[in-house]
Amino acid sequence: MNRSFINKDNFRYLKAAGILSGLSIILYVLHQPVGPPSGASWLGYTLGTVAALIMVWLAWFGVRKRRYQNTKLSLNTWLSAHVYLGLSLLVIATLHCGFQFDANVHTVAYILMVFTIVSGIFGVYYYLTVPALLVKNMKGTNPESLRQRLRDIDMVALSLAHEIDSQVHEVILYSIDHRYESKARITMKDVRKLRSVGAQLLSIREVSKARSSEKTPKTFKKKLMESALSINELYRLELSKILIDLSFDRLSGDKLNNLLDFVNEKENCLLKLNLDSRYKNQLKTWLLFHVPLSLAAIISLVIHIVTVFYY
Amino acid sequence: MKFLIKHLSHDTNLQDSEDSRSFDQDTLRIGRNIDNDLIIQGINCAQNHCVISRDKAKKLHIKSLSSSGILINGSVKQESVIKSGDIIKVANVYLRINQLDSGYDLILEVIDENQANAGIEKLKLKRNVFQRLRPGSTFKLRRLSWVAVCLSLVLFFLIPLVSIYVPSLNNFLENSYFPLLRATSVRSWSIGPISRYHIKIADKCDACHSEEAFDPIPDKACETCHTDIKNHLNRDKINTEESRLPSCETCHKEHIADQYLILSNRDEQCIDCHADIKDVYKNAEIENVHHRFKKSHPEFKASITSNFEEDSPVVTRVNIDDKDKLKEHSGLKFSHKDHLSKLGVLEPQGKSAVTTNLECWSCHKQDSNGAYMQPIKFEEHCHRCHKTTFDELSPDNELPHGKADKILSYLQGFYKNSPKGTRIEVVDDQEKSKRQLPGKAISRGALDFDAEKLTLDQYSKQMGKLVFEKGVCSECHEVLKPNDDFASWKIIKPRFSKTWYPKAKFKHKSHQTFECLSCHAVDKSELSEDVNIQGKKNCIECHRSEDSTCLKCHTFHSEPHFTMNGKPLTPKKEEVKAWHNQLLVNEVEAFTKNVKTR
Repeated sequence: MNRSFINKDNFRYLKAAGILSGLSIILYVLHQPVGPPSGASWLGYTLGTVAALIMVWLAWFGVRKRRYQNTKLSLNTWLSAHVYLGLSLLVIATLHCGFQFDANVHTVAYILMVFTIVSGIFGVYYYLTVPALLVKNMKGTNPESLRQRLRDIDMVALSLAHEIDSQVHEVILYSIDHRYESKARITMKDVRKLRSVGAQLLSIREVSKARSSEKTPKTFKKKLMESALSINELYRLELSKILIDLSFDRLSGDKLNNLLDFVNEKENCLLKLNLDSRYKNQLKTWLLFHVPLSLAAIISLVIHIVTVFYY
Repeated sequence: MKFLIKHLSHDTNLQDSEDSRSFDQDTLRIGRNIDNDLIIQGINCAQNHCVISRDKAKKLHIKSLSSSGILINGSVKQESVIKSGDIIKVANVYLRINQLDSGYDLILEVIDENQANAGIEKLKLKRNVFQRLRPGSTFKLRRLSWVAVCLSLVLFFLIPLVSIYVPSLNNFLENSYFPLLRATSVRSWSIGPISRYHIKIADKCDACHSEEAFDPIPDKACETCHTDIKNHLNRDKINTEESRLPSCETCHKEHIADQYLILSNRDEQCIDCHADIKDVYKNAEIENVHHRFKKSHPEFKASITSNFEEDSPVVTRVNIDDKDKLKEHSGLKFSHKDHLSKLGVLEPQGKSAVTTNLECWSCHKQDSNGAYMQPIKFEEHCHRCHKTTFDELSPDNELPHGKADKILSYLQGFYKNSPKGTRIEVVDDQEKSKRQLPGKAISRGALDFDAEKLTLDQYSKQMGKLVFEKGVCSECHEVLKPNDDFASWKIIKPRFSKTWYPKAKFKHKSHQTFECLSCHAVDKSELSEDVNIQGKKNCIECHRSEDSTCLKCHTFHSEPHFTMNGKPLTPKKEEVKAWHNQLLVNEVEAFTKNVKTR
């Protein structure tokens, strides 16, 4: 879907809806009903009938869009009319009720209708803005290949971490979420988790850097001077430190850097996926309100009509 | 605690092969290191991955030993209670918890990932793990729509329907603080608030809505209580089609607001018939009215009463411009012009030169409603000046004011003691001049008292005739003399129309900023039969705006003989009024407050 439903047939339906609304306003101003303006006068009945017919027709859009065979009007034409007539309903229905609101089923029907229209306005806004943002975010790639790339990075990073040490391995293991492939939505929680992994890796790198630059004998002496610990005890401490240092691969710093690069790339992927799913959600979420609200509005419209005429 | 680790190998083509190992120790450790109880190879497993233990309540706990957590039933946890049927994933291996075998506290079934996927049905992993992981399962648009449909049906149709039959529920809903709850009461279906006049039947919908559904309110619903509402037409004289008569609902709108229960500011309902009244009733004598007062109201017609003599007055409608016919014979001789003369009228007791100026209000006073003038009474308004003296020789004696037969018996009584034939001296001219007031006292000198055969009765009659014809009576009243017999003579009782425009509502009180003479030009009226009232032109000077609606002057329910349903009007019942009075003040206040707060 693109902008074409806005200016379809040179704004034909905007004009039609505008004329309809304008006519209603003029009649409303000229009309002098019995009692206050309401749905009970001839104009009230007329506006109410028009509004009810429009509502039912608008709801029929849900049926029409599931029919794929060629009908007289294209789906795009239908959508254009759907949008503009839906907006004109705000004017017509408000004039129909003559600004009378109370805690009753009639006002409930009106409020549900207004909520439906407002959710529809959100829908129009998202359909006009979101597709361009989606394309801009992906920049030539697509969510599937991004997810594939995430899996590849995980495997490479895990084997790299395995070569470094168990602590790093554990951190990377923690960073792997088995659900990336299947998860519908990548949330910012996932991104934050990955960032904490990156931070952990950084701190590990700094610790190891500091250790390798430390000159053991000097600090040993210094600590010996300052400390009240027994020499045996200190020796044991320092020895374990040296042993850890020895077990550390010389290349571990480079490997850690590599790992950090991977984590960065992963974070970028996740951010893109997060944005992607957020955009796609925007395209879907408004419908979660629009459709149930519109059906509830139709139901309360029927109750409104029946109760008004029943009594 | 006894553990059993069972290696399951599922291949659809082969028999299951098992490799079991049992332990009897406090904890079960899982990881990549060789010192673990269950060693899982694979780069996805931490060296010390997790440990399973049992607490005092004999519940099994699993605790992660690495920061990566454990995948239990599809969600990552650091620590959890596990039970039979749970699936734990470590690296490429599924671990299924089984506590069913009584020989062991825990049987851990180890299944390879590939084999698990192959034998997915048999393992029933699908329900536990894969269903939760299926993408897009959160979007349940259709289900949500059904919920919305059902919810609105229940809230705004079913609950109000139920509360019709459960008054306590309805009471609770109606008085709720929350608008949404109030919107689910029966009153939620009502199109507007009931007016305060009908508040007692506000909750009894079928008091008015008694007809078939979708039908308008029948008039008989209103007539149940309002039994004595006057009709618009005289049903004896005017037979219109029943369908042409407006229903109550046409003018009385309920469920809007108090002030619309009587539509007094609209002409449409009137003009609907009166624009072509002959079409409604072909013998109609009234003219058509197409628009409001100023534009198309026909010239006024005055109701002139005549035939007072017969004691059965006849009322004729005379166009106000028809000056020849516009005379009202009241039986009184009176000149407004003389009474309102700028020279004044003589004071009764004073000297001949003393006069006083009369104003309209000297005699005419408004009644308590401010609508009409109080009736003129002889004793109150005339007698001070107009004494009913009759005999020059006894100026202090007055005739009784009343019927003619009273006069005769009075005269007989008066002259009984008077010596017959006594000639009384004629009062000289000088004394006469003291009594310049109207009403002549008769000189007895005019009668022949010497006549031999004249009896007292005859004498009284002759005196009476004189008083009638030339004395005080005929001065102001017209006298009816059918024959020479004095006993049959009558004074015509003066009768006046209370109003010449009986079909219009008028209040003198509302118009008292105007001079009386601006509408009643009596300063030039010499005869009492003048109809001193102005026509439409005089009213239009002020009543020219659109506000001058039909009901400003006219009343719909104006026919005094029939009720709205065509029955003869019985003496007014006060039932409905009493019903209204029963409304306690605070009851009404509470109701209006309730309406306002909504």
